[in-house]
Amino acid sequence: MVNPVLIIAVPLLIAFLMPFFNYIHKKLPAFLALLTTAFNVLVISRNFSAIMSNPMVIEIGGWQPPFAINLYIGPLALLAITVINVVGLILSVYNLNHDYEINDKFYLLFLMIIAGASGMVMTGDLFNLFVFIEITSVAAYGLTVFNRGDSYEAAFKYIIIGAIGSVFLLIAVGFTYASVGTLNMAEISHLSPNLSPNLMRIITLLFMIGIGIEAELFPLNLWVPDVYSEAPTSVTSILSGAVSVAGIYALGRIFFTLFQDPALFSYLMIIGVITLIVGELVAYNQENIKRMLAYSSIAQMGLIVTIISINTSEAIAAGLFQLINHSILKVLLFISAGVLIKAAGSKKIEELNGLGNKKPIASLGFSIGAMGILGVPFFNGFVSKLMLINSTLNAEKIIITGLILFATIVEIAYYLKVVQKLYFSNRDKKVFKTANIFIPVLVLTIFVFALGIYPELITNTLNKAASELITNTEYITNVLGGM
Amino acid sequence: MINILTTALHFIGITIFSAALGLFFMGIARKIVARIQKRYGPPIYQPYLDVIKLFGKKAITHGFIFDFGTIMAFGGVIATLFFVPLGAWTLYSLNGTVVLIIYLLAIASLGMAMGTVGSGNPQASIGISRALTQMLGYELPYLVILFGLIYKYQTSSVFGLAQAQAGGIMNWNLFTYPVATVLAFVILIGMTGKKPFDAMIAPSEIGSGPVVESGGKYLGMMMLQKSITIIVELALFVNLFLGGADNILSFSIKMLIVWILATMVGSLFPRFKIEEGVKFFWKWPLIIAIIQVLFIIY
Amino acid sequence: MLINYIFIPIIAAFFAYLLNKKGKYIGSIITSLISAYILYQLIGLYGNWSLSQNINLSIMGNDLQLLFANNPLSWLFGIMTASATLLISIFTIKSQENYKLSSAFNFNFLILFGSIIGVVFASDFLSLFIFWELMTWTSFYIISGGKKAMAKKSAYRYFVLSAVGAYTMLMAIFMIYSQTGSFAIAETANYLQGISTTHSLTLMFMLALPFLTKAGLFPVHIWVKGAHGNAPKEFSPFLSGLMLKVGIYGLMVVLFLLPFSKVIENTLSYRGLSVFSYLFALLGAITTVTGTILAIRQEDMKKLIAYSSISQMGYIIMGIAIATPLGLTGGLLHMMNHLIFKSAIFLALAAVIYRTGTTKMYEMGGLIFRMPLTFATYLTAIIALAGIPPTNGFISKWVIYQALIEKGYLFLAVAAFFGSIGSFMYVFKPLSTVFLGQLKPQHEKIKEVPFLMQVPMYILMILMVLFGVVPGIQMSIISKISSFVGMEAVNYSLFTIEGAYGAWNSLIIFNIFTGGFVLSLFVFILARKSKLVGLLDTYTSGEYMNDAEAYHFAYQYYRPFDRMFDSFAAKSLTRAYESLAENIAKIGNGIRKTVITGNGQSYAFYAILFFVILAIAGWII
Repeated sequence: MVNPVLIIAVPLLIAFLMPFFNYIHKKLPAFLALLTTAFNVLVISRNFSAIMSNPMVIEIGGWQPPFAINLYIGPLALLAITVINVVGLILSVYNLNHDYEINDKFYLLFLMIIAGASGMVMTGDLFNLFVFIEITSVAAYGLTVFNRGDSYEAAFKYIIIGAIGSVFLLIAVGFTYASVGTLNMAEISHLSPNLSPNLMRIITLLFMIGIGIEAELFPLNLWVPDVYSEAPTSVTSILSGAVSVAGIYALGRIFFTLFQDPALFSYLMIIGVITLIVGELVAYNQENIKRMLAYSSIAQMGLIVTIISINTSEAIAAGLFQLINHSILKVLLFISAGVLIKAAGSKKIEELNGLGNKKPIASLGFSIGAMGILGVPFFNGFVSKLMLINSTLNAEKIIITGLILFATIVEIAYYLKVVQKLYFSNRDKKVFKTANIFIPVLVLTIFVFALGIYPELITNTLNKAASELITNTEYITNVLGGM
Repeated sequence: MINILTTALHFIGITIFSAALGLFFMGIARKIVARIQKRYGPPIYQPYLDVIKLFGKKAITHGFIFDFGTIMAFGGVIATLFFVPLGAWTLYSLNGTVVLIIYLLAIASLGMAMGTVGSGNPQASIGISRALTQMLGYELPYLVILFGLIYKYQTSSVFGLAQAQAGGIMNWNLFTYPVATVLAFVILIGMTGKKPFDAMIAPSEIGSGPVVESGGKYLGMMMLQKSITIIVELALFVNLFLGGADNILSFSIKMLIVWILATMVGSLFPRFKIEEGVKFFWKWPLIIAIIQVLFIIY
Repeated sequence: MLINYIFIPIIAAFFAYLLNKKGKYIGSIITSLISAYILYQLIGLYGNWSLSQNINLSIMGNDLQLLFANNPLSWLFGIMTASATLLISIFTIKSQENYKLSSAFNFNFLILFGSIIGVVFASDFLSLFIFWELMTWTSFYIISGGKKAMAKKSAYRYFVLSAVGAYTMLMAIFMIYSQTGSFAIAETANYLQGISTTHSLTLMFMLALPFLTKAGLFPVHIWVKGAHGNAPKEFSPFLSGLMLKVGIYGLMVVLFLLPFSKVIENTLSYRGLSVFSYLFALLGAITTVTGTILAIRQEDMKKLIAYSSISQMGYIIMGIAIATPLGLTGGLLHMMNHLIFKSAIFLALAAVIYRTGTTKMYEMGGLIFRMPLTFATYLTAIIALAGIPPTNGFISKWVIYQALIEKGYLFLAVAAFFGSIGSFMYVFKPLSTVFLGQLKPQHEKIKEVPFLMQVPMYILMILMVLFGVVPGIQMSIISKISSFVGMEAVNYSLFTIEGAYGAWNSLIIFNIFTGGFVLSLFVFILARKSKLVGLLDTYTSGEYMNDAEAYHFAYQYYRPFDRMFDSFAAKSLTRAYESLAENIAKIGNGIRKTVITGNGQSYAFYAILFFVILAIAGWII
């Protein structure tokens, strides 16, 4: 039983020691990043079954200021952590063989973002959550600019919106503390039914805006297209695959555990649907492949939020499954797209024709990713799609189902265009050399098919995570039970 | 065995008879047209002389398909003859034959089409394309009328439909369904390729259309085919609308009357363009036929 | 084990792909062997009507059962699929030797084969949907691989249209599942009978939509022309011969297995048939007429035959929708016959494309002199298509006519007649412009196609005549299907079929026809022998002709007829769909321009505005 605190502590430590390691040897940072993420995954796997049977509560006493901050890792957090760190691991492998300029500071920030995201997910204290959100955001701002050029502008927009989000968050935390008197999540959820409904709504709203920026809700997600398309590929992947997961987790905690108010779920659903539809419609017209994928990410986030806000156990399970699949597929898509862009020398979709033969692995990765998102049978996206349609129809939300299916058709429209261009066109332009991404693609593909053919692999975990989210009593008793 | 032999002989006999009768009708038609145009015209037995002459001449051929097409055309129309009751000479009285006859006539047209287009002369192709277009034009109202008749009499055999009109002149479809009969008459003019529906042959325009390359025995077989086709079409009309007949003589007389009327009507008009022809068939005849059949059904 | 027949092709697909990279023929050979094997196995399944197989899955605490069963309808479709795959794969062994994407083709083709087997043997909607999706995806990839410029766009349109239908069905499936807890077709049938008519009709229509699209019925027929015309030349026979039929299979499931008739028992009826069934039949009639008119206009031979396929589908739907024993029999017969003669036509055309490299009819001519066997196949096939005795096409058309006349459906009959006579016109066009007429100088040197490509054509020719003379073979399975769906069977014997107003005896017809032909041959031979002259030596009113090109009448063969329908054809349904898609795209663009300004300050403003709006909304509500 390894102490899960190490998941946060070790990356942070290694991160800040990076300049030192760089001084020793130029290549060391990359390998160390790989080792750290591998270590994280190892820690998680050691604790996996233990946490599944009994959520783990760890109190960090002593070296923090007087508020007893605790970590809470239940099945839900476990799921999120696994995704975040596995994605981190795969991207560290990818980083070894990168095709852009990065140095030790990159790895510093990379490890920091992983630590921050993991922290967001594991914490049981509200202010701690805020701190980790800030860590993650700052790391993200920094990571974005490694591509130079237009990424400066993108990062700047991100900073602006992020700053506003932080303000909202801080106000929300302040209100919470003022009204409930504590910042511990379990206590808040225990005491929140006593709040006046209006106050609770305002607080929830403030939180939603603060966290919605990370969770990419409309209209707070407008930084996404710029950042995703200008940042280096592995940054985009980590943002899309890991940070968004943390964002959804935090959103879930606020809406389900801390301040449960059924009326607000309908707002969340509407926002989710708008995000979905807007994302898909705008993605359809894009000429730049990374922007297209960015809008697709936004749309998928909207979809997940919509599903989760239906507030039934099977819906949440379906939404979580969709989230996991989204992370896997988006990382695959972005990695492949990165190689294709480098090979074609341009981000425009028009320029990508005929790369199917020249860059088989990247094209195959892209196609598998696209087919997964669209829901081809035996791919993971298919199972999650079926599950989510099942849950929406069971909840009698027929219009939502129709809108989801409409969005899928628009998705089909724009993804298929790219796949066709890759494989069925001829190429007469130059093809540039690119990095080898065989291992990441292979590993991700194995995940895609494993989940597609044997979803039973994680259904147990999903069910537990869903039930944990829906009722907050277990959370409260686990943390405060002793008191 | 004997049965088959007698049937075969019967069949050959009927074929020869129909061919002869058809040529006779063709001669009569020429005479009538000539008289209407205030001239004497050729003798009535002229077609016989033509056929004999043609079979005596040498001809050219453009290859296998030219031969095959001609044989198929003639063979098809002979096969069709088998199913048509000619007065008392009914070889096949089983059901389901009306539609069959129409389609078998199509084999003949297809054969002729194939053969003549295979000659390589574009005028033949033009003629065939017109012929097929026109066929679409007149078949449609014709089949509508047939639909009505089959539905009314609950049988699709020509013989059966003829029998259903037994029992006196007033039972003829001519009098029970006069509108349908008139329409079928108009269609008959189209089917036999008389003016104003002869754009497909158009002697002065496309060199007689499909038969432009045929000479000698080919032209002879085409003439015979045409003659038998005329008989088949007339026989169909008589059986469906004029109550058939008990013996071949009265049958032939009925056919003759219809033929003379058709020729006389046909000689009055100039030629329609193809699309005018098709439009013509699809306007009033089709509408009237549909109304008529609706009456029958309800 | 039914599942094996689905997964063996799918697994073999991977081998075919890899091995085909080594040698060009290996992929097609593997496909042929696999399809032959499966065909053999399926034939052995005849009569084993109670064979079934379940796969149990448990996802998210829900127990799912995937059911597969063997029944006459599925069996027939399985046999049809395996035979078609076999014939086409034999053809492709030679015809794809220069095709760049042959590995991908065989890969997708094998998976397609497996998934169609999955579709027809599934007895619950979930399995059907899974394999239906697989089928659509693989055929999409195959069509995209066509050599023509429009291949990608046509495949794309095909897919989007199919997806709309498929997702509608998905919604219906899950709506039913949430109420019944099962996907099985039998359960669905029970459920649909228990709920209100409007509700169940909506559900059934939603279920039927993807099948209508796949079958190419009006108004979702617009993908057919593009897909057939631009697909690789060997795939068009499969598309037209089989994939359209899979849509028919689905429709039969909806119409007969979910008893449409029981559900609509108490609705309006027209001459003894519910209005809704009549609606389907009417759609079929419109499809027939539209397909015929549009076919006559085409200059590209594959597109012409594609439209012809749609109109034949209309026939089949008319037969099936009127739900009488004769109608069902006629529809099914026509379906089987259409598979045979349409594949033959497309294979013949593929052979021509293989040798000449073009699909435009006015660029060819006189090919009979160089490719006589191809011509013979084509001729037999169009005789069957036009429905002329003694081929099989006539029998099925005759039965359908009997069915329509029996019930007095005048308008349907008019459409059927129109389609039939019109078919003379459009089948003749390729015959005369491609095979007959003047041989172009650039085609002087071409030869007949290789033997392996001829074999499928011969087999199909024999089948056409065989089934024409002995319809009893087809009738035996069709009568089993009739009883399976609860309809009386039609009386038949080896050579005869009994209709409503008459019986059909093929043997007699065949004999008469032969007799007539012999007689005519006799006359021909007795006359004097004729002299063979060249093609350019024709009657030219005194002009001297040396240019074959100018002497070949092919372009706008039916111009007078086309003129009549010019305005009709100009109102293209395709353009309506296209403008719909464009409008959706415009909305997206509009949103992008107004909201996503790229301006950091405005984004910040949005955040605050968002809060204000939601706060007010929360206060008020």
